[in-house]
Amino acid sequence: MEDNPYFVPCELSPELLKDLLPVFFEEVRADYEVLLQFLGQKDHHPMSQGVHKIKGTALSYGAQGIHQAAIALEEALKSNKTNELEQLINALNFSIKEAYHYAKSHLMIRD
Amino acid sequence: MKNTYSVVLIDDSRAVNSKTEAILKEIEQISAIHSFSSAKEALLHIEHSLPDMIFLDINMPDMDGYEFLDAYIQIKSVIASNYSTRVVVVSGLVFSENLKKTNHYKHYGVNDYICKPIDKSDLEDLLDDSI
Repeated sequence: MEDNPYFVPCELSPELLKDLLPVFFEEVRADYEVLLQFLGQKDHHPMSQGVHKIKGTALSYGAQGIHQAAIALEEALKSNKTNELEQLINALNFSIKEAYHYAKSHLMIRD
Repeated sequence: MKNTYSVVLIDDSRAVNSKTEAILKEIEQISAIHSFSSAKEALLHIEHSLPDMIFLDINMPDMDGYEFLDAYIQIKSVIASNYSTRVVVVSGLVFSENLKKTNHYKHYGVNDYICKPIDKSDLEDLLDDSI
């Protein structure tokens, strides 16, 4: 588990993680979809709110890859680096998929 | 001295609330847990039933943690000024500005500020301080 950079299980037992991770992935995916809706808009506040939430949720579950990708996106939003946003959103999506595949194969979480 | 505690969790992330709830359920002294992803909904609950402890996120849409505290103080002063509810501010951000703001509410039972992610030892420490 320690070798995988996308998911470092938190202190919860494997049984609890198995129950809670579907909730985590459902929420993170929904929040990611909201980010996509606001991509390209001048007002970055809704995206900043959304990415801040993803960052906090990922931190709570030890999802290091998602957390780091959210930090990079949040920083780009703060610095108004609009030309980097699409790439960073794709990186976030990649991190979510990687973490999900890892959790599914190693923790046998439900679809 | 109380033996059991009722807890309200307020975080716009349902996943975070679920995790905190799972940890709290493993602690014997916790008698009831109510989770809210909206601070406004939490206020409606608190109007009818003040908990012993509130865990409050700061950065939330619609009503943030500090807006919640302003409204909470009003409610508490009307319905139960003597009831001792402990409010724990939970945030991923430890900015001096946030700490300063949190201190402003110290007289209203807001006496703790902890960082995400919350773990079991954080919660047990807080309960030990209450007993």
